[in-house]
Amino acid sequence: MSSEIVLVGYGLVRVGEYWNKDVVSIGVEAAARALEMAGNPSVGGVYIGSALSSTLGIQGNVAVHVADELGLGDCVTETVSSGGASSGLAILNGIHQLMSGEADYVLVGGVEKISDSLPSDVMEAVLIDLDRRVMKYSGLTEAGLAAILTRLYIDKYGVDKEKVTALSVLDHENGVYNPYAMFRRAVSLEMAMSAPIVADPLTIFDVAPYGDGAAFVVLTTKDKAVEAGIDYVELFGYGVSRNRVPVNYRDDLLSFDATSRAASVALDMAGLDLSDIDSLQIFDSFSITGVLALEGLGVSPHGSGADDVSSGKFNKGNKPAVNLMGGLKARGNPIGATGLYQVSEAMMLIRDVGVKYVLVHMMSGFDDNVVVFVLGGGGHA
Amino acid sequence: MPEITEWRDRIWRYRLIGTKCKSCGSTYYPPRNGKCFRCGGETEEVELPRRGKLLSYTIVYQAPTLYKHSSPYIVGYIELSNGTRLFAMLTDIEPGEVRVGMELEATLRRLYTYGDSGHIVYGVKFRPVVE
Ligand SMILES: [Zn+2]
Repeated sequence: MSSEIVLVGYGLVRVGEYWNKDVVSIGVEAAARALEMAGNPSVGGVYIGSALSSTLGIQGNVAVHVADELGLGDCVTETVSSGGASSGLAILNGIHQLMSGEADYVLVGGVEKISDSLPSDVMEAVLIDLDRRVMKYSGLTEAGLAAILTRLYIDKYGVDKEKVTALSVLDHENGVYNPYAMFRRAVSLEMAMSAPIVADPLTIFDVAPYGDGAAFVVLTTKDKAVEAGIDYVELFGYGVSRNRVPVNYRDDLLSFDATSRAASVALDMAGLDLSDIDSLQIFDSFSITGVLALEGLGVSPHGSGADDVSSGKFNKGNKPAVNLMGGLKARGNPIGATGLYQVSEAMMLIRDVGVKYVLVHMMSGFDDNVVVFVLGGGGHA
Repeated sequence: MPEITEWRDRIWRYRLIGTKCKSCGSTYYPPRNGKCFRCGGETEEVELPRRGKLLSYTIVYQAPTLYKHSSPYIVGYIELSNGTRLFAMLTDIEPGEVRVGMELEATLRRLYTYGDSGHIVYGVKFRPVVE
């Protein structure tokens, strides 16, 4: 990367239900923590990803409101919305402003408030990110589409459904160690398989739970971080891609091509191979989308992702280990903020656990809009 | 007025009209009038065959508001006889009778009713072919 981008602070609230706080309040809480860790620098931009704040009528122009309540001076203030890719695009906007030389520090974040709306309204707000006409006239839901993919996968590769659901079990096993996770308890495969059905054959354990959340990171350049004497984690590469064919028109629903392209661009930029990556943070909005992401990233051949997960290939201690902080299933899925949880968790893994290279994958819908980051290294002042 | 969108989409929804690429022959349903997603060619509207087979399906238990009254219901991923793939609700069949690979045909049915206006929206569902 031309100018070296680094991450110098993160701030999160635990994913959950905040009945007595609004979206701006949880955003300010997380943002203030990130800024404090970064030494309270003056930021030239505030970019906030939020998938549903406007759609659900929760709060428009969230970035402006968060910046106001933080008491920031003049800066670029922008709210970004692209489902589960919202956080990634907010980060990219921040990177671009830093690389242009217009700012020395930027604040990037993601916020989502789920618990202020009825579950059915949230479901409808999520599914119109896909082709409105398809979803509305067929009665298909996002979980329903994931269920159709799961059945295609099981039939095509002759895999037991248990092996797909094994990813949710892995998430819960790892989520126990994440203080910001919505659910911090392990579950058995038997419990996951026999839970209530959302869309056959998916149970509630195949579907990542939506939750309220806010996660922020402060970005700057390596030079500035060294000059200021603050700890940093390096952003070695990033990649962005769209699938280019809407999910309802695809020839192969099981091939996450945008995930493949975004990862390969990010790894190229970082000068790394996939085999160098120690830990993967994948966007497993459903157990099947997580499995297909693993195959798209290339750590499992097509048709082997579920086998690999269920045989323990990606468990803690292995390389690469997957979703060491609980993934979307255990940490929770505050949609537009989820990507910034993934990135903040990557910072924790690098700083506190000593993981060398982490690849973070996030996407809207089903491989629709994908952003991948490669993080690692870092240093102390 | 959400009903405006249903009205605008009515012709293709009733008659199973899609689009076909003039260069590579790829077909799309619902119709998309821009460039072909696969080759970038120009597209034109075509009426699609009404028979196909089931590739995959789900039974939806957690339904959106408009379909609450019909839950649980079956949504199929269907390949029409010319290769077009689409998502549509299955009808005249019980969940236990659904089999991947089964022959289906399109039929015009009521999809949902708007609560306030009482406006009924019709569209295509698929039912098993009885020879
Ligand atoms: Zn074409």
